[in-house]
Amino acid sequence: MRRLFFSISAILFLFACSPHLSVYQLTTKNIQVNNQAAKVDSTIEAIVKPYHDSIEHDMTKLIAVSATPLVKGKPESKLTNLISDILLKSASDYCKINNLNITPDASYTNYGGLRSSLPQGNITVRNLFELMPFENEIVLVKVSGESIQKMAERIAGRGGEGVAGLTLGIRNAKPSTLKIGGKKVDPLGLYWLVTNDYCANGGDQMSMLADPVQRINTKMKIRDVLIQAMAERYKKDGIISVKEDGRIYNEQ
Amino acid sequence: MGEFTMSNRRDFIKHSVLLGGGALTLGLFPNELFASGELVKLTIVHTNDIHYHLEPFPETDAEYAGRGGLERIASLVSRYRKENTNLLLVDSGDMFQGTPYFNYFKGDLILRIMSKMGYEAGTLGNHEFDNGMGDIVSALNYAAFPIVNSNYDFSDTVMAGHTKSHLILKKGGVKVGIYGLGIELFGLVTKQNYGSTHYLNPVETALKMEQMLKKEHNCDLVICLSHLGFSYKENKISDKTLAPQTKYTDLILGGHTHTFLDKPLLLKNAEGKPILVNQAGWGALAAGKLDLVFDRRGHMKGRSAELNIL
Repeated sequence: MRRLFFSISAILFLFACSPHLSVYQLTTKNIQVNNQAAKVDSTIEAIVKPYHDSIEHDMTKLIAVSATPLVKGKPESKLTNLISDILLKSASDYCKINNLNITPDASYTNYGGLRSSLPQGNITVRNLFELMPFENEIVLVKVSGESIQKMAERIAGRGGEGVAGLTLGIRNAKPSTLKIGGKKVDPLGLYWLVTNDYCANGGDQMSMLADPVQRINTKMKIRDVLIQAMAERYKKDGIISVKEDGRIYNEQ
Repeated sequence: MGEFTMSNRRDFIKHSVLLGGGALTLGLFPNELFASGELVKLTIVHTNDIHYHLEPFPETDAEYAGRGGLERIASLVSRYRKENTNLLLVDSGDMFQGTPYFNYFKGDLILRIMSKMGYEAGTLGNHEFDNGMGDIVSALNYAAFPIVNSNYDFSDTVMAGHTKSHLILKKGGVKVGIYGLGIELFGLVTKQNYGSTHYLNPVETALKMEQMLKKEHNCDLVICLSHLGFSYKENKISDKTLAPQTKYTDLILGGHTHTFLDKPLLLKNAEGKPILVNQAGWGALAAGKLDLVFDRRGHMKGRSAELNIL
C-alpha cells in the first residue's frame, strides 16, 4: 500500500462556481506517519518532555510478561478472552468478599472498549492505560435470558466480542448456539452478567442491559482490576499464556 | 466527466486515465501566475482521532511499533509550511483519550500541543466528552484555535459559548468556510457526560451551513469537519451517505471510524458535482494532505480542472 503510488488525472470542473474562485487543480495524498515520513519535531517533543518524565516512573512499572502478543480479534481472541475472564473472576471474588451470595454467570466486554493491544514480553502499566484508558467500573446486572439472547444477537451481528462463561455459535451474523455454564440460555431464567458501567448504562447499543432486575456497582475501576489481576497471575503462574478456546465460533 | 459512475471507482480510474493520459503536475501552470499571485495554492493538512498519541507508538506495540505520533505530524506540517506558507491545519475530533496523558493531564496538554502546531480549527468527537463537559471547558483554555460544531446545541449546558457553529478563514485570498458535525451522543456517551446537549439532525444542519457559507458569505471553499464516521453497514448517517445530499460542501474531512484510506473518496453531490471525502486513520498514524490551486483572475478559464490522487 505504501509503495502504491498511482496517479490519475481527471477532467473535472471541480467546484467551478462563479463568483467564487475556482479550483483548477487538486492534488491529494494520504500520508502514512512513520520514521520514513518524518522525525519527531524537537520543539514539540521538548514541550511534552516534562509531562512524559513526570509519569514515566508510574508507566514503566512491569505488570506481567506475556508469551505472545495479545491482540483483539473476532469472533474470539486471546485479548478479548483474557479481559473477559478477569472481569468474571474479579466480580466473583467481589461477591465472595462481600458475602453477596451471588455467583456471576457470564461477562461481556465490548470490543470497542479495548483500545489497543498488549505486547509479547513485558507488559507495563502504560500498556494497560492504553488498552483501557477509560475510567470505567465493573458492574453486575441481573437480567433475563431474553436480554442475554438480545445481547448475543448484538455480539453476533458484530462478528464476536469479549465474553466469558458463555458459549456463542454464530451463523449468518446471528446466534445459532447460546449457552451459559454449558446449558442453553433459558429466556425466562435470570442471569448475573458482569460488564462495565458504560454498557450497563446501555452504551455501545446495549440498551437491553440498561433496565436490569438488579444492579450492583462495584466501584472497582476496570484498569486497576486488570493491573492487579495480571500482576497476581504473573507472580503465581509466571509468563502469561492465553488460549483461544472456541467460546465464540462461526458455524457453517 | 459526467460519464463516470460513483458506484464503481475502478471504472472511473480507468476511464480517467484514458481521458487524461497520465499524471500532470504543477508544471501545468506558468510559474509567473503564482509569482503574481493570480494563482493561489492552498495546502490543507488534516488529522482525526489522534487519541492523545503525541509520541510514536512504543517499539513494543503489537500492531503499530514505532509508527505514528503527533510529534511527527508536527515536523511534516513544518516542512509543508516551508513549501507553502498558505497552509490550513484542521482536525476532526477525538483528540482526547487513548494514552495516559489524558488520565493525568485531561485535555490540557493535547490542546496546548495542537495550538503550538498551528491548528486553525477542530471539531468535537464523542471521546471529548469522556470526563464530562466541565473538563472540555477547562481544557479549552489551552486551545488557541476554535472548536467548530454545528449540530450540538449546548445552550442549556456549561459548553454554551465555548464552540463555534461555523468559521470563515481567509487563506491567501481564498475564503474558506468551515462547519462541524458531531455524532449522535445517545447510546455512545454516558448521559451525564453530555447532559442537556440537544442533538440536531446532521444532514439538515449541513445543508443550512453550506448554504450560508457559500451563498451568504461567498466562501470559495466549504469544508465539513465531521465526526459522523466514514460509512456503516447499518442504516446510519455517515460521511459517505451525507456527501450525496449536500450541494455546496467541497470537502468532508471525517473521523470516528478510524478509517485508513489509500486515497480520498470522490463522490457526486446532490447537483452531480464532485465532493471529496477523506479520513486519516487514528493515533496520528496518518495525515491527509490536499493541495488546491485556485485561479484568481480566470487565467485558466477554458482549461479543464485536474484532480491528482497520489
